Amino acid sequence: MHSCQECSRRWQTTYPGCPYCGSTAVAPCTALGEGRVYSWVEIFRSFDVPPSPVPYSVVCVELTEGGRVFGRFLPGGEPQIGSMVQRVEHPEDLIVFTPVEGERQH
Amino acid sequence: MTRSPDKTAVAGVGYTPLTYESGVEVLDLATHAVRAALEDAGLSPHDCDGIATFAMNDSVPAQAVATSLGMDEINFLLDLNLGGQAPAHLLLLVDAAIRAGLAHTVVVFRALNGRSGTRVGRARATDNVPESAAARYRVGLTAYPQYIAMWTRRFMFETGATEEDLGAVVCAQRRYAELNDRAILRKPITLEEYFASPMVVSPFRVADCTREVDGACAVILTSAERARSFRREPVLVHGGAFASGPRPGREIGDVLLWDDYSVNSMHYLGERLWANTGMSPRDVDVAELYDCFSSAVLFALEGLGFVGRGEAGAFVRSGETVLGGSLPVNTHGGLLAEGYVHGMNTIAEAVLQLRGDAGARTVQDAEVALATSGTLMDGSAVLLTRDG
Repeated sequence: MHSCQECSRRWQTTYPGCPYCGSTAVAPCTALGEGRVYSWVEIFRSFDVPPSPVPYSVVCVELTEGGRVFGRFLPGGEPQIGSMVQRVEHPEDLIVFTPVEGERQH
Repeated sequence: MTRSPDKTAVAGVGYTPLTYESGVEVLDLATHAVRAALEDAGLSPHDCDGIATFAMNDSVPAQAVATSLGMDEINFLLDLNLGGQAPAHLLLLVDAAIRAGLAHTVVVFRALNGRSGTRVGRARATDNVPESAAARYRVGLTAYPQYIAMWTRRFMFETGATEEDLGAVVCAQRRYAELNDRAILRKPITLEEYFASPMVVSPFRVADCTREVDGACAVILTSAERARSFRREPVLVHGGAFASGPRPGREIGDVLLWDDYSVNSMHYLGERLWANTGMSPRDVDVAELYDCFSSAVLFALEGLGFVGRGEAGAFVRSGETVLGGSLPVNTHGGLLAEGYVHGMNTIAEAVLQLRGDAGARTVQDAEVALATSGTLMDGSAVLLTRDG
């Protein structure tokens, strides 16, 4: 992740200036990998080349410290918007989120 | 901001047939559509002195078409590297150029083998993949239907919109397509059949997605005064606007920084569109709303202020957007059913409506037509009016 020293906003992709305030005082930072589901999709037809196995779900997660990332949703299906998720380890370092225990899904 | 009293007008409209396999190269399609527009206007290539287009690495440059036409005077040439947000924006740029005296008669086209060739719906960067694209491709978020589906999911969460609302958009537009000889998809559809359509990416079914086609569409823009001396009744460019929300990201598919997925560029466009043109939603007789996906219509109706937040679904379900309703929408069947000429045909249909030239789809006594472009971070819109 990246953060702005002036306005404290955070984001994933590299920019030479803060997308929120334009300051050049930007620096890399880390995140715990925990956040809430902002939105999601369940994909039934893959547009990947070669096609990926379907169905699978992708979530847009608003991280607790700020900033959003996309990740695969484990175990798939329909996540609940607003529910807490946490990042889980993946052998190829893929971003994968799974529901935090104790959080209701429906 | 007031517009100069010298308006421009659309003097000609042309299309190729819209098919799933044209069997010809894109240059042929582009030239064919431009020729059709010229013929419609009663003009030859020698009457034009400018040419403009937009594309996403899937077309031919304007200069190639100028060459095919044998244009001998080229005072204006423009190739926009933009997508669905472009057509109205491009028309307004050409309008400004003509009014500034940079050219007098300009061809505006979009041409693509969008089904048999490069498909916009699944376009992805392969060379010099930007970091933002690489990150989302890795997790399997790779195509426009998926990005827009994710926005639609949030829209449904925040406004209470339902799949029935999406289905209502699809069904309403298919009724127009039934009356449109040019439409690629003319089979009527019931809500039941809509729900039986296979899921592509939730909440979108096949029926919610535009039909990619091979084809081209062109218009001829010139001064209103000049247009009045040509064959067809001029359709005036009254005005319009372009808008992007903040943080459009690193590239055209980079949606990650967008704050609120329940609104799109139309939300940012509305205020300035109506202020620039001195009009309001009430003045619009027919609305051609860019519809790469069904939800785009709901976003546009709310974003531009035709209805309040959360009211677009009910508006469509109650029949307001079909012939005889208070606001006919996408009278060609839209990009959903006429076919995806990337929104150029959205503008062309608005022109046909104001000429009273849309056959059985014609909205009686239409004086003002809106055509929009785009459904993500940026977009544009143009208001067209009958002459006099």
